[in-house]
Amino acid sequence: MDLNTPSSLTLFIPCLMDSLYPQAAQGLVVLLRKCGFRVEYPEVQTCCGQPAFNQGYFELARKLARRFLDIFEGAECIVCPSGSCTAMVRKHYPELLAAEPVWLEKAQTVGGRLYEASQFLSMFVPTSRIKASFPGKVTYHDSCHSSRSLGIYQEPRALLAQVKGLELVEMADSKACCGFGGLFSRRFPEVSQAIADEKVKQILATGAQWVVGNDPGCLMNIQGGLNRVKSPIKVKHLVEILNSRS
Amino acid sequence: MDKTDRLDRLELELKALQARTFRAGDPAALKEILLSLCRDCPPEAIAREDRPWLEKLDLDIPVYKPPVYMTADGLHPGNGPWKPLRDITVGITGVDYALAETGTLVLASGRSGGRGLSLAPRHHIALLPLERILLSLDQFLDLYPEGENFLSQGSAVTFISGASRTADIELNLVLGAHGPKELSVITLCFPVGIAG
Amino acid sequence: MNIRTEQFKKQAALALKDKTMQEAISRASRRFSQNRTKAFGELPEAEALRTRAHEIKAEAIEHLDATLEEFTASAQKLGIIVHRSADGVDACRYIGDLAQSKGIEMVVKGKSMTTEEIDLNRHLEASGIQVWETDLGEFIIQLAGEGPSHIIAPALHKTQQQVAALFTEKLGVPYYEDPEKLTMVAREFLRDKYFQAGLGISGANFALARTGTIVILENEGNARFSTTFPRVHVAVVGIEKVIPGLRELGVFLKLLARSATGQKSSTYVSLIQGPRRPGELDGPEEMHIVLLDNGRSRIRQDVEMRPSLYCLRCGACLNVCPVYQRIGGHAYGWVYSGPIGSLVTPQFLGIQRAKYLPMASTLCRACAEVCPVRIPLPDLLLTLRRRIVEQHGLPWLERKMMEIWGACQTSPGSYQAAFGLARIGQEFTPGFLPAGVQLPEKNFHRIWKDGQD
Repeated sequence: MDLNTPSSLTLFIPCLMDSLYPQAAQGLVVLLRKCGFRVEYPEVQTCCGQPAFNQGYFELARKLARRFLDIFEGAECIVCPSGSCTAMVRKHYPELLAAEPVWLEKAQTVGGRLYEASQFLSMFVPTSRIKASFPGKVTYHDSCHSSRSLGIYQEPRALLAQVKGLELVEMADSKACCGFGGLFSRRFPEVSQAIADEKVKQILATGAQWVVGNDPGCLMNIQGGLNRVKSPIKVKHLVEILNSRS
Repeated sequence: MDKTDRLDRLELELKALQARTFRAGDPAALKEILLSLCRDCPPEAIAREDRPWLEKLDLDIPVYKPPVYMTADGLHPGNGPWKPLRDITVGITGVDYALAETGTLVLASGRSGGRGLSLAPRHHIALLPLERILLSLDQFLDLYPEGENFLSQGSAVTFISGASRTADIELNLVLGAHGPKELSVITLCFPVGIAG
Repeated sequence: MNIRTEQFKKQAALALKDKTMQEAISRASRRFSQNRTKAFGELPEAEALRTRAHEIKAEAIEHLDATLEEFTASAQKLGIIVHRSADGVDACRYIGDLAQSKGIEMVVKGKSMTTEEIDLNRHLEASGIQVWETDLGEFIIQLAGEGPSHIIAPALHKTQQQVAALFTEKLGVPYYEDPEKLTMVAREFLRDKYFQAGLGISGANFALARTGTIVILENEGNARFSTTFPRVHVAVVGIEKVIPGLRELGVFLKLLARSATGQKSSTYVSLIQGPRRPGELDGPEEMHIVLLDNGRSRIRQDVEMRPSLYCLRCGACLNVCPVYQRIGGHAYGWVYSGPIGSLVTPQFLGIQRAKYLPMASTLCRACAEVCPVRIPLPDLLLTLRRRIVEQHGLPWLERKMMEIWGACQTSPGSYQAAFGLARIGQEFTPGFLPAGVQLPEKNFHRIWKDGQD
């Protein structure tokens, strides 16, 4: 391990993953421990405030941002298995708190110590250490925040390339939005579903058995789309794949 | 990039825009090419621009200018015979500059005497002196920085890159939407004595 | 056109049922965006040009008053009559009065979204003047009595069969499905009009302050026709179109056609510098420029939202927008659609009239990725959302629920209680979660806690 590798990691588990895919969060814990890290999970964490922020409820988002920063400010290194939540803290907390110098500084500090999971693994874990095995045909969905806000594209693919037995097939446009958009999917459900249906068409065309991504919101929306056409294809979070043994 | 390289590049770009390209080594060759291009066209439906250097080429093609030609409907009581621009199917113009990188022809209305001949006829034949081929728009702007110099070129300076086109119906590309359906560019590889 | 921005939700739902339109819009957007990607890939300095384009627009609009004054003086030196219109009513009145005073009975028009913004056609037709749109797409929707479904290709939603039937019905021509034949029909039909019309109306893509030049980009040649043969030419130009001069124009010429259709250059770029000059055989005898405000200065003064005015109307954002691709342009209810439409419509018409437009985005950022002038579209849409919330523009129930949700996030106890309730509630509220998705028995908080003991 290099000099800057942290010894203890603090987990920031997105509320959607907490509620819908707790097994993926558990998988991340196991994976990080396997890689030799001590893992902490501040139980008082709730939501980073993104749903409020995205709908324009900035005051509420600020309140939740300050709460988040209080919880995580002492952390040496924070790992989050979601591109959108990572982008929320890193990019939008400083915007939200721009007028409050003390909080702005906290936001910048915490943001600087926060990594999306695939980014973290790519930077701090030699690929040989992960030793995952997951036979199957997989296609990867790049969430909008991951690819466009955080510039993540190669990292998940490099990680998947090391998984024994896994065949990665790219869909026609992996960066195309899945249609979730947080509360957008509640406000405009038919449009959201129509967008998801387009994504599903692309997925079906790959012949993959699994759709993998790093954003629980996207995965949920895509699973819904797959279920609507009665497809047997299932979604899986990237960290679950990386934690798999055959 | 020398003159011939620029010409090669220009022709490449023009072909991609569905334009036809020719090179005339001397005035006789030019006449040959024009003859073949206008073969199926009645002589009264062909006209050329009134430029001094086109005049010098001695092309034996009627000049587009009053009193014989008028841009309007041609219905002027008492003064005939007017030939409306609508009846011209082949318009032969000069070209002020060409921009090789984008296959663009630059025509200034002040030099050519008007805008219509490169617009209304079905077939636009453009005669381009070799030394007027520039590489790019930036080079053109270097020649014509703002001010009187540029304005003197006329009420309209038009950059033409290919034949008229539309894809408004189901994205099917159709040429000749309103402007010319055919564009032929003949590069004159001999001195034509343009002033300025 | 009839403004239907309030009915966005309903229109979007309707649009989703129109499979033909969806197919057409989907196919076209994909083609345009693929062509754009290819054209930008071939332009080595593309990113630097986009940044430069943003800077030029930012400066021009920051110093808008001075730039407009310079443009006006330069244009007047060329013999152009320049009129400033505070709003659409004034612009329509000016042009209408001008047409009346010259006994004009027929008008030909080049494509201009600005004139659609102010409903100019309707005003002129009300005083008995015949107005003919000459851009093929605009001509088609004019005959059909519809609004544009895309910023640069207004009749995208129509199949060739629909166009064929339309031409037969309105023009009395035989039924031809071939797009080439249909285009020739329009060409022949409109050819006479250019020579008969007393007035040609155009927009402009750019107005150059230093020389008084207006610049029109097109592929068909109809704008060249409309601005050459009628005796009078009126260009309606939004005040945000002014840029300093030719050098700056060069930057935009490298970007605009590539962004819109993937072409290296539009077929025709016309730099118009006044009416016909002595010695010229054609060109209008008289040229007017109407500089239209219609809310643009107000948007400019709203510094946060100012970049909304940088738009080149290329349509690139529409082509990559997952929402636009599904619902097409009509659902937005006004002239401008897609991401830029969602951004400017509430600003032009008032937030209350169009409050669902900024909401109708997943904030995926695809638009920001392709905007040639780097307008931060998603961030500006979010700003509009913030203002809608602050002005209590959303239903009371929604605000209350957000408040309650927020309260549940402030303590782990209430958070867990909310999870418990949601688990029970999911049985009674089908459709709240996507099909087949269920909340598990234990969330991760619980699993972790159990593991610690």
